[in-house]
Amino acid sequence: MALPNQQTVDYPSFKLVIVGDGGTGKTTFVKRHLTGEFEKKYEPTIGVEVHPLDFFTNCGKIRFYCWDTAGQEKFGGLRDGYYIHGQCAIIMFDVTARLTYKNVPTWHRDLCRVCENIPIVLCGNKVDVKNRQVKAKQVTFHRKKNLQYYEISAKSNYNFEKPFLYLARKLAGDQTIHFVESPALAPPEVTIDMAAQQQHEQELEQAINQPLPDDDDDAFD
Amino acid sequence: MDDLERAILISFDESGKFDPVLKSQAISYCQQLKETPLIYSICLERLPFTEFDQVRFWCLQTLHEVIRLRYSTLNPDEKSFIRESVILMVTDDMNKWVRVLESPAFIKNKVAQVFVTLIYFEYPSVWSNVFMDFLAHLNKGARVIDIFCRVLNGLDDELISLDYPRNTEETAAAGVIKDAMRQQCVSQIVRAWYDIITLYRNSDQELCISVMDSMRRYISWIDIGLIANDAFVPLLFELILVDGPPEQLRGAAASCVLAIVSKRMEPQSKLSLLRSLQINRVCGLVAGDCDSELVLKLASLLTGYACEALDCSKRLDSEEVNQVSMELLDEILPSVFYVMKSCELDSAFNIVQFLSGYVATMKSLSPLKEKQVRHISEILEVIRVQICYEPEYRDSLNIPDKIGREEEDRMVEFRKDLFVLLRSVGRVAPEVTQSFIGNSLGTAVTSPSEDKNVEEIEAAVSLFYALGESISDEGMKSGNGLLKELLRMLLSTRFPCHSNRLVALVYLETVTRYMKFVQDDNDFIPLMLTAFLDERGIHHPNLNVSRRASYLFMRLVKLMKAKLVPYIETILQSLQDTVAQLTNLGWTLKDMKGSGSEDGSHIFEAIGLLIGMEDVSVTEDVAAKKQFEYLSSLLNPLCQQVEILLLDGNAHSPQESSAKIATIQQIIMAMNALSKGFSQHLVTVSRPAIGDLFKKTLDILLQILVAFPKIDVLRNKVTSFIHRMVEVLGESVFPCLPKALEQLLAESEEHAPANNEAASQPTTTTPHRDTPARLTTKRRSLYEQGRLTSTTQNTETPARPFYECLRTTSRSQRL
Repeated sequence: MALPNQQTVDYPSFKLVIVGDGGTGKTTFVKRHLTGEFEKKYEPTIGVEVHPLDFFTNCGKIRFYCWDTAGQEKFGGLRDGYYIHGQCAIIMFDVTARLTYKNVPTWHRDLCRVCENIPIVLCGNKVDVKNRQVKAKQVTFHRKKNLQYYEISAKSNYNFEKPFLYLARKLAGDQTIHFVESPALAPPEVTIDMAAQQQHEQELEQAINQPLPDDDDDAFD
Repeated sequence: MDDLERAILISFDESGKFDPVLKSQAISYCQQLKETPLIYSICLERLPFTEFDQVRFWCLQTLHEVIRLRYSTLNPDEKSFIRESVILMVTDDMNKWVRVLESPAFIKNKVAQVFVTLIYFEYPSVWSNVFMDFLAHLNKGARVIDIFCRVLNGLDDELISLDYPRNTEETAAAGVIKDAMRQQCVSQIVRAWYDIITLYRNSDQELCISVMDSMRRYISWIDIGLIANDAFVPLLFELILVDGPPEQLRGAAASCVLAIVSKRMEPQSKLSLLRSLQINRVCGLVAGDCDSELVLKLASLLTGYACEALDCSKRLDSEEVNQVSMELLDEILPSVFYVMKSCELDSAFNIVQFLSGYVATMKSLSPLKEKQVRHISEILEVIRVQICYEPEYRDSLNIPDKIGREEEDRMVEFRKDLFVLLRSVGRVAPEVTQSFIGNSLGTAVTSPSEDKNVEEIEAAVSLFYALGESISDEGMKSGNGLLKELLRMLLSTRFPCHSNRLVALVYLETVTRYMKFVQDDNDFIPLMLTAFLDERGIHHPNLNVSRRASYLFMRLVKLMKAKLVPYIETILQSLQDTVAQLTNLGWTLKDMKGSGSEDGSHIFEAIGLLIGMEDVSVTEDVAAKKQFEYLSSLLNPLCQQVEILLLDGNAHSPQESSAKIATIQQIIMAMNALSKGFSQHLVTVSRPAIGDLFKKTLDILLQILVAFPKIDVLRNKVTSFIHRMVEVLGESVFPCLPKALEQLLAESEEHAPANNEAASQPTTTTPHRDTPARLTTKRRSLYEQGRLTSTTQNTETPARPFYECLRTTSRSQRL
């Protein structure tokens, strides 16, 4: 019923529901994908925007109709009515706001009441922000419910593809599916390059494990 | 279809097929209707008759909102109307509600949500017999039972379960509801569960699964005696054990048993409960295909049981009790190990944590009994299996590409805890651990196939490496020198899959790790050298590996250079091609960026360390001659290369010129690294000819500053080399300095830090500033007076590297 029949496509398409507290970055996240931008529909009064996002896998193109739902109850519109016939979902929280993580179970419950047994990804957004309140190790909800968890930063595009790839693999029942080209993404808005940051951390780690150099030359190489 | 239904359908539509104006009209129509006082009765009337799921959903959602948000404003008649309608709905009165009760799950769950919200407000105070009323209708069949289960599960989700954030009112209400249920109807509900399962187990398994889902949720807060008894336990095990019913049903029964096992209780009662279950009955089912849902559920059951048994032994001090819990554990451990090795386990269970806890119980036991030794071997095998990469990542890891790097990072992180566990196992059972690692290594070494066992070989060597991390010199000698023999075996091995990046890397790291233990064993040296110098090391086809090999080789040379004197000739010979390659033309800046600190210059550092030793040969004059030969044969070609590059001027495209810069940069880094092996004493006192070689090199490098005056990277490299020369040549560098400083200062005027305001003014029109030439003279005289301190440099700040250089010069002079 509620599956959008707009721009019917001749390749596999799935309804993906995105939920989470207001301000966690759901809209920013879906809008990173530029092919979705042109066809978006904005329905502020009912509280959902549907973005068709295309991805290119080694098995061909697939489309996620991303139902970006309103996080704030007052803009909720049909609320869990939007979840009907959802085939997969993303639950978003903000790692800089503890309450948004605390509410994850409730979003999960409300989602599962309408969509039983769909693959779900939990996303901790805004990992580019320095003062995290929810550390990676404190995120345990996904283990209780067998969800996949990813840390993302919508603003810097960090891990943008990961949730989609996970869902694509689950929906296809094929773990070997991979994306063959990157979707066009909006340029990062924040300068912190998470990949670089991760590499820094890793290098730091490696540096700790390295034997200490015994001279201090090459100081300005 | 009337206006309401049409409006609902339009407002649910996101396909864009309706005119936006129409849609917003539809939405506000629905909204207005929601505000009307009698909306609950409109919904309840519409529900049984509409054909559309959307309409049903909307009606239930609206009804739920009315109860949730406006309950206190409803009058008693309205409340009672809602209550009576809802119970009629869930109990399928007169078949009127068939359409609702046979709707898709999301509608039925919505019905349950409405019902649960009523329970929240009305049970037990207003509607005390709600459960009894409901129970009385279960005999109507599957439709009603299904909703009954959804209500119980909904009650758990919406109110009772501790998994969700609740406010104080909700928590209080949940407490009241549970108390009332315990007193009033739990035993009847449990009775109903039993009857439903026995009645429907063959005809409607979906229903039984749903019932057992409720049971699983409620066991944590109802009297355990109602479930852990002679009726239910045999029934549950029968469901699990009898081959025939669908896996989901058997799995649901296993989950119920897990809930029983996990019930919070006093350890003594828990232990009796655990014992009474005779859990080893299910062990036989845990074999073969681990993808099956049943095996996964049983895996959770067994691991959960094992955790509880271990926990009992921790919480009870008595020796006797400990004995009992260990016996219970022993019975199922083989199956637990099996699932750890073979199944994708429920992530709620932490393998490392459990095994660490188990290993901790063995700390006090010595010697270990045969059974425990077997368990230890199993634990080691679990570790080995867990640290293996998946073959599907092989190619990605080998390159490595983005996916490969991520997988490698993940594995590095994942292995940390496992290696900590390995260390504790190694402490509890050192011999078992060593011989296990020896065996895996032995299997790896003798493995014939080209690439079948890449991951196993990588894992076996990684285990050996991890062992080396925690071992001491004494540890190395223990066990009849087994580790030494393993190292010898490893050094003499060339794996069929040695071209694999990860295998080659862990091989080299491991060899390096262990060499410090055997540095006094001369017979290891040729083995080690061969491993590093052939295609397992520096000549490995993968740049990643060969550069890491260069670095590790340098570390080894540093560690044991004196012992390498007899091999210098051989080493230099086999490094000839590598050395030539590194400073060859054709470098691009991109090549150099990718490799981080391992730029390849370590190979020059290693060579420098070797040929920089005073006693490269036995007799003094031969040594001097040899040393000069070695160094000049390396420095001269490099100098020539620089000269050629400088000769043919700037008549090049930007691309060519960038390649040129990259090459020069590489050459200077090589020279720099080479010089590190030479001490000031050797260069200036005992073998001044060597010093002359370096001075000549410095002269040539200074020309770079003239040819490429504005290239920062080259400037930095040359400055760095001057810095080196100050350290190596000491005072004898003085004659070269005026020229060096002149070149550096000439440009440093323009290179002065951008934040220095003076620097932005044109130099020629700044009267108070010294001209470069005068400045040089001034500095030299200051320097010669030994008075040059950082404060005297404040006024005209040249580029920082230059600064550093002088600081070092004055320091070395003081020495």
